[in-house]
Amino acid sequence: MKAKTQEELIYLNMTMKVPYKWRTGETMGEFFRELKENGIIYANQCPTCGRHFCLPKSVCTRDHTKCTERSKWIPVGPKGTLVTYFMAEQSFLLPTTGEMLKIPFAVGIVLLDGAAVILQHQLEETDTEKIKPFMRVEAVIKPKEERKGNIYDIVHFKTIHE
Amino acid sequence: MAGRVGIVAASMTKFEAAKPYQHLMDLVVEVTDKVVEAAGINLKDDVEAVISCSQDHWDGRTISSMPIPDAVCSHLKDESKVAGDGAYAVLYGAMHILSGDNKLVLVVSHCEESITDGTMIENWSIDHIFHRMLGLDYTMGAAMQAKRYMDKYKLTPEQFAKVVVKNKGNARKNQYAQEAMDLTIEQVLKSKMLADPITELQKKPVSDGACAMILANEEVAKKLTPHPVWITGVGNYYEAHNPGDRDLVECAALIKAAQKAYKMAGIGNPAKDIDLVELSEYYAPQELLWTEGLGLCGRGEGGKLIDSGKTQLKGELPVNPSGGLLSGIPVTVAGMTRVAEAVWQLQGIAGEHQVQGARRAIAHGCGGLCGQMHCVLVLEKGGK
Repeated sequence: MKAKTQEELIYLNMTMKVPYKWRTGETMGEFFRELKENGIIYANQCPTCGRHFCLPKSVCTRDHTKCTERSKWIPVGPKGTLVTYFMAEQSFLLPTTGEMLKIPFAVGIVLLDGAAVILQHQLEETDTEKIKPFMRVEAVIKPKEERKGNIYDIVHFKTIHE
Repeated sequence: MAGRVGIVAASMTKFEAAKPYQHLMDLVVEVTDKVVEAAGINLKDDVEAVISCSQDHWDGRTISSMPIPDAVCSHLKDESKVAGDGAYAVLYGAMHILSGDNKLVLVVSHCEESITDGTMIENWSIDHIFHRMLGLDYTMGAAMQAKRYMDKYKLTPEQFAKVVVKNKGNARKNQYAQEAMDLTIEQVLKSKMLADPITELQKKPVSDGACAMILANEEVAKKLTPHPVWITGVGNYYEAHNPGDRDLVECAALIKAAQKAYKMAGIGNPAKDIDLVELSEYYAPQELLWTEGLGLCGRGEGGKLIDSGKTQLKGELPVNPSGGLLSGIPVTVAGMTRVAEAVWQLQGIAGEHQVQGARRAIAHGCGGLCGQMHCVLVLEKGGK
């Protein structure tokens, strides 16, 4: 049989849309509640190794100890240090929103002051020349009336000069 | 089998229609902590490998690597995942032990069916070129299978309804069961029609929960518990995905899986040699069909078997004394809970639905449209 070109083959186009309602649980739910209601970023603590987690964990990865003791939570940041980052120059359709991402955008790994586990979020700065490892950044929190209890209650991290 | 694989302990969450206060990770933590306590081991030091079991479309993400390592403490350990029924996770865990690579393995499964629309997920698992757009889900498949069963072997809707009355009735004695109900055949048949002959009460309800167990090699299992349960036979077979490519009442994969497991365990007459069965009936007619496939009665005699009363909790051969999947168990977790229930029965700790003197049990897991794949495990206590 003669080989066919790609154009001769038939494709089926289909978009699968399935809704989900994910539970945040006690620990992540409390993190978002504090962020939404009070605009404060909290870290919880492992009672065994003492590390503070932001983002919070219900059990410690290393010790498997429950980190649910609320009195051990501490506010962290909003200032922190950029550890590393990526700059996206190519957009794609984000399945969770159905919209193309606006490029360029940078996402950094930020070690918030007081925390031991690091948070990933967008950076305000999109000029690669101006982003340096270990530069200081600060979380920009949305005004209360706009906060919804998700990670975008933190708009992004802006560069600060101390 | 080369050497023996022992099941030391098992655990489950309470199964519920929804668990809105728990992140799925919290479910896994709950069953992991319970099974570790029941086995009397240290999670961090004693567990060498973890087999998790989940399905990405049900969870809505392709990252079991996100919540599971924290939940099972597999940081810098051997961990892998089975994306299928939980009975396969037990099988895979047993392979880890038999390979000699691990002495003690944790297997765990979770699913929160209530976070999404299960019909859509089932439709997602149907062949995407020809059949997905027809609107098929597992209930439609089960209805086709039941119709074929009624046509070929003359089973009746009343016989299907008896399975529901039995299983949801047994669930009244099971502390982990979601739907314990005191029903009549008429109530089952008059519940909402989903796809003739399947009524709402003949379908497994939407459920959230998790299950875990500890597997060990013979030496370690004997050290950890005076009541290890041994996996003495296993069979696992697949057949074609397309329901048009198999006879839906012949359940050929199940027959082969059962025969292989029985041969391995030295079982000649399963109807006599087995004390109880925990099988995966996602829909009521499947329990009758699977009892045939498991060789517990002749072909076409599944209806007569339920009529005889033998499969009742106090009968000669109790089938799903726990309440089965009809009492509410999520997919993925399903097959693992069959094994866990059988383990508790053989350890004599099943509770109010304990089958007295149980020494040998069958646990059955299956998956896919109309039961495409089947895994049969023979479990025994004692022995040399």
